[in-house]
Amino acid sequence: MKKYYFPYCFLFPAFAIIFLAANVLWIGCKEKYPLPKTLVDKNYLVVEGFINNGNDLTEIKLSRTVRPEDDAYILPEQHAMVRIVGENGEVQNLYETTPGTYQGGPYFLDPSVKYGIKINTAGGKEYQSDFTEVKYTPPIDSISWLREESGVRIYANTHDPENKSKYYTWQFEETWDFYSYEWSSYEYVEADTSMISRADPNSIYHCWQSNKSTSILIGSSAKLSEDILYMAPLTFIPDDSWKISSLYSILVKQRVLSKGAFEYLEKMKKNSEQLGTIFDPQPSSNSGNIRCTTDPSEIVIGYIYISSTQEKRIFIRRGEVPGWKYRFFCEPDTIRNVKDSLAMFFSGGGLVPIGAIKSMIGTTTHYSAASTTCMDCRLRGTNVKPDFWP
Amino acid sequence: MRSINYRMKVLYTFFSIALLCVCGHPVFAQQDTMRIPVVNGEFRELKASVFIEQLEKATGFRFYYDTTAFDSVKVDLLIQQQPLDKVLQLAFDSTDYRFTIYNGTVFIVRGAPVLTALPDGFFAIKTTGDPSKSSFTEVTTYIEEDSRPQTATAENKLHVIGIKSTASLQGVAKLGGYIKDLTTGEPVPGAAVFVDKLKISVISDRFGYYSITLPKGRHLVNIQSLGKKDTWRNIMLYGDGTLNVDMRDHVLSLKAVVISAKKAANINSLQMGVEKVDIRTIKQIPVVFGEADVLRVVQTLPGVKTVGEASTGFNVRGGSADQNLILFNDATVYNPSHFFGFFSAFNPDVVSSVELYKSSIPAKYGGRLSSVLDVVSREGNKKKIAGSAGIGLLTSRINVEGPLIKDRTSFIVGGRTTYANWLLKHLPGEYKNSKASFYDVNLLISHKINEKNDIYLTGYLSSDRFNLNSDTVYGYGNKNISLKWKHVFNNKFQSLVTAGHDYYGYSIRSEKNPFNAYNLKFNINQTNFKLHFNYFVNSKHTLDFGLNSIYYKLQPGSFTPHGDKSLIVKDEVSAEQALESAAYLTERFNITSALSLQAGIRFSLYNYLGPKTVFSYAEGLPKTESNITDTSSYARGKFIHNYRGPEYRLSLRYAFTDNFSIKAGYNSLRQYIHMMSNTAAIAPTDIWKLSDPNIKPQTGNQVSLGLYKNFKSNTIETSAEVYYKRIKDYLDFKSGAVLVLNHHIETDVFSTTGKAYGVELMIKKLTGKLNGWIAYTWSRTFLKMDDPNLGEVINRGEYYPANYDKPHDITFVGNYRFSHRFSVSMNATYSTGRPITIPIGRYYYEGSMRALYSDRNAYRIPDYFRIDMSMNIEGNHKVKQKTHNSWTFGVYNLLGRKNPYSVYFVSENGVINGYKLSIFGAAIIYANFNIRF
Repeated sequence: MKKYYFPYCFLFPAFAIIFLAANVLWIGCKEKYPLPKTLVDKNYLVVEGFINNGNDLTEIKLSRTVRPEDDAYILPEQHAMVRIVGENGEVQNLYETTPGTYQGGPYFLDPSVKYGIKINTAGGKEYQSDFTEVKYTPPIDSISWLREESGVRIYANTHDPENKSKYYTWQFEETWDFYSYEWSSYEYVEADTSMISRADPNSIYHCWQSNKSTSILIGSSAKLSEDILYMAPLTFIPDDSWKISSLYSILVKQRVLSKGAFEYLEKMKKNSEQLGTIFDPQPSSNSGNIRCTTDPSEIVIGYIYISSTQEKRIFIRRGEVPGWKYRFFCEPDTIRNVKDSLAMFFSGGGLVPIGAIKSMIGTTTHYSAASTTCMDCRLRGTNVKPDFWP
Repeated sequence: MRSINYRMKVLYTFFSIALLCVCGHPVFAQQDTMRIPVVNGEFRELKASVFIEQLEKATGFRFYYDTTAFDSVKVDLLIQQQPLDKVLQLAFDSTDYRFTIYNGTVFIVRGAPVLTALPDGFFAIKTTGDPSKSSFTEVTTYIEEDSRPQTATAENKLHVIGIKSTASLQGVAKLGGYIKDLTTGEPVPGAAVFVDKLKISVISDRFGYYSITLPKGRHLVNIQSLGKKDTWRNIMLYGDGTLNVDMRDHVLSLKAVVISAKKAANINSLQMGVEKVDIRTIKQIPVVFGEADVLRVVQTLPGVKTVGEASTGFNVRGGSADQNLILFNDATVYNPSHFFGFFSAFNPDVVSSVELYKSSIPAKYGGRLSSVLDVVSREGNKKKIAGSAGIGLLTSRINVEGPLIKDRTSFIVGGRTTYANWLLKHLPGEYKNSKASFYDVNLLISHKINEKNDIYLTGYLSSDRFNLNSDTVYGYGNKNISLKWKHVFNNKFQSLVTAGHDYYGYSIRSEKNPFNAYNLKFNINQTNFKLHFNYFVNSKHTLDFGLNSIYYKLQPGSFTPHGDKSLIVKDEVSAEQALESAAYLTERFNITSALSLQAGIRFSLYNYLGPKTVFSYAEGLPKTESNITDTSSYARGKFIHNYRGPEYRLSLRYAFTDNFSIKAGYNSLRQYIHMMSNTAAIAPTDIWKLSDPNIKPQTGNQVSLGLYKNFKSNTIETSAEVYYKRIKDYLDFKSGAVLVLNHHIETDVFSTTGKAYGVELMIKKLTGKLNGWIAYTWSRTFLKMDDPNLGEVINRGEYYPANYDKPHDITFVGNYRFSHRFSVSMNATYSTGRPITIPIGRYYYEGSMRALYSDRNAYRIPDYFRIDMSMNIEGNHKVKQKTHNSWTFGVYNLLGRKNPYSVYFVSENGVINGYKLSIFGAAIIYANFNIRF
């Protein structure tokens, strides 16, 4: 890491282009600040999910808020009764599949009826969401990407010829493959301090890693004359990232939101992701469309909407992004092919052999080798090839 | 004993003569060395005064006489070729009037003649004790006195104002004139002109003009101004007249006690909640990067708060940043900052003084709720070409001034620019290619057409441009021009006509992605016309009245594609027009010398004009798009909606003694233009919005009470003020409000009510080696939103503290002069941390941990404390040299404290991290070199 000389610990605001909102970033005098302890000790119900009107399951996750200083990461809300209810009295039950996750469906809902959900918790409280309209999601036109100066930005493109969608959200799961430093032809056998040919060298040579989106990704064409979203940014991959060391894939899920859901997520994004600038907006409380009917003053987090999911996957090859800076550097060693040396360097997985170095007469005098992290890709991912991988 | 009594009497006489400021000697004993004119003529049965008048004409001598019963003397003489003394002797010999001739002046008094010489032995330390020896005959000092260069003549002279008459001096007369700087000819605004004994005081206006009503007769008029040497004039007021006064610069005195003009004014004036700072004080105060900053100094005054360092926006008595009317020579400056607020947009070299009205806002001002910040420029040097320049770490400036026509027309041209890019180069890679620049230019011309007419031209231009390692270029700027014509009808009545145009706009351009490349523009244009009259009815009544009119034209946002490939759909919020007019009348009534009242009324009328399409919303329902009931289009110039209302400005003063007074005030204000900003600090991308059928004007009113007490002959000034203020229809924003390019912004805003109260204490010493002030403010500001029909209810509809609610605030500003050439300044400021909203919990949603916010502004960031120091080193003070140099060295944030600007919590890679953000995390050393030529 290069060190930059700082004449002053000086703040510099930078404006990003998040649709015309001044989003000033900062560098310099930023110090960690512990989350202040709160006197409020309330565990509010968090309802995440949407009613899936289509071929997929509907999944609603229930959890509880925790205090900032608490240890628990997620506090699932178990043993609740979750139902989809229609204005016409129709009821569909969801079942808890894993703690806090309730599933059901697929459902094919009547577009002329509004639906909501009703939750009865084990604690005896009842929660009810507003009834909302059934929305259909148009297909993703394309997932595109642009090589920028310092990386690749990936965008979604979509449109609704009926001009009815307007509010979109995306989630993505990215997957990339990567290779170990070298193909390992040999395997060290601890038992007799010897080298044998590796049976399945590919199993530690080629691996995959994946990652789910952690940001709220939303876009709206409400300000456009047509319901077209062109190049809605999804994610940015800096060009020193290992994600495009070979082949990269992103699966984008698109859903149409109700206006209320869009605004709810937008507010949530502003409150949780777009802070830390000089010109920060005021973090605000955010009320969704779920209410506790037994205690109307209780805060409930979440916004229920009815939509369907459209998916699209693309691949980006390293060759398509010229000048990608990512390199996987390793320093190979040369180990004399004598038992003492082999034992010293290879036992306990210290080094992994790459290949044999032979003398002119064909005897192996040395083995080239590198560290396990360099040679065994499983330490950085999985060697199970995903189904969709070409 | 007799001798002592005798000397006392002589002394008394001597001083009464000194007061008259002439020296004479007894006519019988000693003839004046000056030639005595010879008189011819027949004077039959004339009243003495008429006789004297004739003599005056005949001889050219000036006569002073005691009017009491003077006309009971009748003169009947035929004179042929007689010297004046002989004539007078003949005329008055038989009466009890005695005369003295001295240097072309004749004094006629009853009883003993006026002495023009000191009695014998006056200067002797030992008295002989023999009164007979002390005759009036020995005159040894008058010749010396005559030959002594009488530079102070203006002060020593008796100025006769009006047409001298023998009629008894009854009633009052009006005295007016200009107060100017002796060397540069620039006017001295804000100078106090007062007669101590009568407790009558006035302040010169920004053109240096003053007008005072006094009873006819002899007065000692004092003239005092900050940074000027005190002066005074002896006047003999017979009738209305003019007295122009030249004041000298007060060369940083080490021994003289200077009574500041403001101090006397502090007690006597009707204004309360007014803070005035002159440029000398401003320049002494250490600021970051060393560039004297008008607004930073304003922020040290009691009752003024700021959200943080990267902001020149300020909050006065609980008002928001857009509720301050910032005027630069009557031109409205919408964005008073450069460079993200690190510099104010005012060039310190052309500023003369800054006045902040917090409470008693004169009725001539209107349109903003909280305060008026009146920045007044200097006028150029009327005698010779001069200039100054300054070089600092980040900025440089130069200004040149001088006469275009000597003594009549002068100009100042000033410019500043920055070269901060070197600093940006030191930023980490991500921001390395950032660029920022700004400049501002001032042009000021003043021209004296004649004694009664002056015109003044002010031009101001500022521009900021920056991009922060992105291809998005931000730019904003102000452009202002104003032309002022001042006409003095007579000493009682004068007018001021101002016409001007103000512009503020910003633009954002992005070319990053040719398909998304855009230009975003916003601007405000306003054309002003102001007509102001002053009418001094008499010493008890003064009227101010006039008309203001502002025509606004706002371009609320145009979003256009940039380049051929751009697919951006052009979006333009149609322009808004409005006319804001006001008529006002202020009466100043001096009920008694101790009690005075100022009552003002301002009636403002606001017309929102077409062409514009406006939406109507269903009654009693929240203004949302779904509740739009009607859309109406209006043609050009059509009145769409009118608002009108009176504004009251009242203040009352009661002076218990010369140095203790109590004042009370009430004022109400209306504001028709609102800044749309949901950020804590003023951002360069904030837009303004005019009131329209759906957005009501903001209104505010305030009551205040103040105690003012001066100590040590007015050199130490203390004040305590309390206020309570209410604000109505102040706009707040729904969470996630879209403010830019919103065609129906009323759906994203709602009105709140606010209240603010506080106590402001101040001790000020503006003279002497040690000068400065300490201000302590305790204040609270709360807002409330409790109507679910208008928008979201915040904090269950209870009052919650505003962003700038910092209850305790102590500021010390001090300067110590070690010598004429070396002084040290320090300021220290402590304030309670500002309120922020903190998470009360966390939850997992959309793939990440997120913070849950509830009660707004329920937590405070850590307290703020900072000390700055600076040293001013001046070159030698020889008057005759080509250039005068000075150096300023300083340290901002001497303790290197990482004062928090904000504390925030952000979700990063799935987890919540808390950060404390400081603008300056270390001591910042700066140096500035200034040169005057």
